[in-house]
Amino acid sequence: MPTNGARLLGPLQDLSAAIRVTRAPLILAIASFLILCLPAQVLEL
Amino acid sequence: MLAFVTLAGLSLLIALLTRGLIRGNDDVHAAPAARTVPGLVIHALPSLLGALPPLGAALGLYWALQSTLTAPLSRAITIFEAVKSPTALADTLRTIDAIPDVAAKIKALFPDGWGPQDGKPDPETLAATGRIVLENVPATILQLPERTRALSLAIYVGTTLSFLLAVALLAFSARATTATSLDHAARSRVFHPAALFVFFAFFLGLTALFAAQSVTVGQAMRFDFTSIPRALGTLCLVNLCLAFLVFLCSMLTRASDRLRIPLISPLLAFALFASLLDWNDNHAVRLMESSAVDLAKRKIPGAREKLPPTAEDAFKAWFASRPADYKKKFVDKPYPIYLVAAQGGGMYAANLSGLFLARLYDRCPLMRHHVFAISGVSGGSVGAGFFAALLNEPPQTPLADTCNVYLPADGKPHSKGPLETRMEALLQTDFLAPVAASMLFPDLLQRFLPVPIPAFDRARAFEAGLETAWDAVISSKGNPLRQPFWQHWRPEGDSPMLLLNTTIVETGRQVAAAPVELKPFSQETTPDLQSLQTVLRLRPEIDVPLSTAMSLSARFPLVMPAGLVWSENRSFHLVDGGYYENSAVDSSLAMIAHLRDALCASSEGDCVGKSSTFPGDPAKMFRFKMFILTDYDPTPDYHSDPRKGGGGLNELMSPIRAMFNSRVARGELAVGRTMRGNDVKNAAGWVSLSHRIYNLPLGWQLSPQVQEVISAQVTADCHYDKDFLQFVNAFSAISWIDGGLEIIDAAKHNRQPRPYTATPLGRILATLKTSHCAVFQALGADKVWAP
Repeated sequence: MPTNGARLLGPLQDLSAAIRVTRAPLILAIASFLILCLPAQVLEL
Repeated sequence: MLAFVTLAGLSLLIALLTRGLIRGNDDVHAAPAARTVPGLVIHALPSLLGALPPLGAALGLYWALQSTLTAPLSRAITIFEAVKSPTALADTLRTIDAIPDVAAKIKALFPDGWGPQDGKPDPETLAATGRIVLENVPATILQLPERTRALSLAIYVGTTLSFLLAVALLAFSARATTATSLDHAARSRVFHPAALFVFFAFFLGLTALFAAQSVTVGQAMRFDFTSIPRALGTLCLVNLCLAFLVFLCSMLTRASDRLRIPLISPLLAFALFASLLDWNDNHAVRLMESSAVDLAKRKIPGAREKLPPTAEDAFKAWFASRPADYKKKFVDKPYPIYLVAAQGGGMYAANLSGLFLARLYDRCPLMRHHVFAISGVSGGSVGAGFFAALLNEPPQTPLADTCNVYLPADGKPHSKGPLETRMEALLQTDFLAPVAASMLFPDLLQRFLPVPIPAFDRARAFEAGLETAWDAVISSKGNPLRQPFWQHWRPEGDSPMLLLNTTIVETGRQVAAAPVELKPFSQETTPDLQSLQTVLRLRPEIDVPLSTAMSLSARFPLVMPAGLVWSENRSFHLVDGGYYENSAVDSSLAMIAHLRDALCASSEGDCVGKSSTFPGDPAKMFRFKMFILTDYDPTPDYHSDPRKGGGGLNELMSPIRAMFNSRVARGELAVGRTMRGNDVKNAAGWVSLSHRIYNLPLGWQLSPQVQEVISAQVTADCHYDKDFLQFVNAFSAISWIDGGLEIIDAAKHNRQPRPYTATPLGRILATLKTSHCAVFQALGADKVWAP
């Protein structure tokens, strides 16, 4: 039987692991967002 | 369209890779915990991340519209709507009349007395004012309200499409609560060795294609490699680069997690280390050698046979080659010598200088006997470089000694001449995509290689873009942009001498690529402008190509790299001329001062040539002046735009922002001094681009619509006789209309009317009139030509 702590911590550990393994697309997706939300007029895209 | 497709591809790839990484990792158990909040986040993470790029694009497009529709532009649009036709003007006046106590309210808006002189102007003056507005504001500018509406619609469509793409991805994630085909694809295919191979082959293929731009620079090729990035477009290139980076980094982190060794951080550390030690500085400036035969032609006959010739010898030879009959007109009056100061500012500055000069020489070719040099910075240098090349283009059309810068009696502007038509086509070329392709692929790869590869240099891609624009519009045979820079100018030629300003990183000083020696080399720190070739101690047979000189002057931050040159075992880096002074006024003044020192008997007033300087020449008195091509707007309304303030990250960004803004302010100061200061006597006229009329974008690509708005502002046709007096008198009526519109606008937006020191409509009209009539006024004042 998992304890209350384990029930709470388990999913959080999963989330932490998910973020760790997806750090590359995570960082680059945020970078894409920041690059693409620069006013296109400045870059004349 | 291609941009949108690649954006969708990038989005899906991010989602697919994220899902693949989650499913392929044993530490994450998303499915059992799907009912908890973290479980839901894990489940939605791929779609959330995939939705970020289209959301960014949607926001970017929306902000682009906001940054275009500035407060001054919105104000200008309101004004143009109110006066664009006699009916609109009559309606506006009726609305103003309906304001209670209108005379007192308008008067209160002009505390310094610049408002309407005698209360409401009489109907006759108001009618004349309406006519003056319609005559002096080109139709292109009066149509800005319609044009802006069309632009807004296009941007809203793009924003909506991007937003819908993001929503679709999120909706897909919400529906797919169990393992899907996407999961299957993510697990089985995304990291398959075949996918890996295809990705890397595609990346290396594109890198090679984009590097071919730099490899072929300086050569006429059957295939134009810059056409590939131009066909793809910059946004598509950005999306492709991001897709490759996402894939590569995901691969590396996956391998790193499995092998339990870091892979990305050592790579980044190596790139940093290689850059720190200058191992991979691949931005060496292209130099070329002239043959002995060509070099012999460079010598100025009768001068000191020195190479390069001195500026004063060059001036004397240039003046001596002007037709004797023409010079006889100036036996008893000063012969005006004009220098053109062409400011920086990417493609809008290139259009300002290029279109102004091309149109001027089309309509007033006798100006070639008076314009001795053009001093350019950044975009201004690009326009000036194309102009000089066009004037040297064989077979040269003989230019007449005529002038016609006056609006014809029928009120129809002159049709476009050959120079203007070709200049327009040259400047409609996309110069950004070749640089972006090189920067995002080969030049990015170069950061991780320890050996410099010149073919990966993005500045060369820019130069290739300039050269191939010429090939496409004019001809690829004998492309002058590929010739040594000094060849653009001959004393007996029609082309003015180019001074293309650049800044030396190591000394912070401005130097100009010039076909002459401006000052002999000196170890001492002097305030004089020196030529790039002198400072770098280049032998006379060594020079940069014209396209390289244009690019060296136009290396604005980040997009273009600093050019590397070795001189006497020491390296120098060259960046945009605008870092030092963006208006080119200071370098023009330095050239004037230098010529005056060398040629004139006294340092003040009109220049009386030293007795030995011009033997046998009918004209011996000169007047040196500048035409200033600028976007300087001295009125406070433009500067009070709240969107120009702040921006966050104060600790880090304030020093950078201050340096960046002060380089612009430094140029504005130089132009301001020619309007109200010590340098007034050196100014022949100003041709201004107004950000108040349209917020001009900074970049290396400009739409034909924006080019038309610029073109409408720099026209050389001038409407000047009795109408000019009416124009001055109309300012009282114009301030009445301006004041009334301000009160109406304030009521509409529930704010207090702002008191004015200058009226927006009056300011727009005055700027247009000054620009349109700059040449006409100068030629009249200097007694060169009158209609």
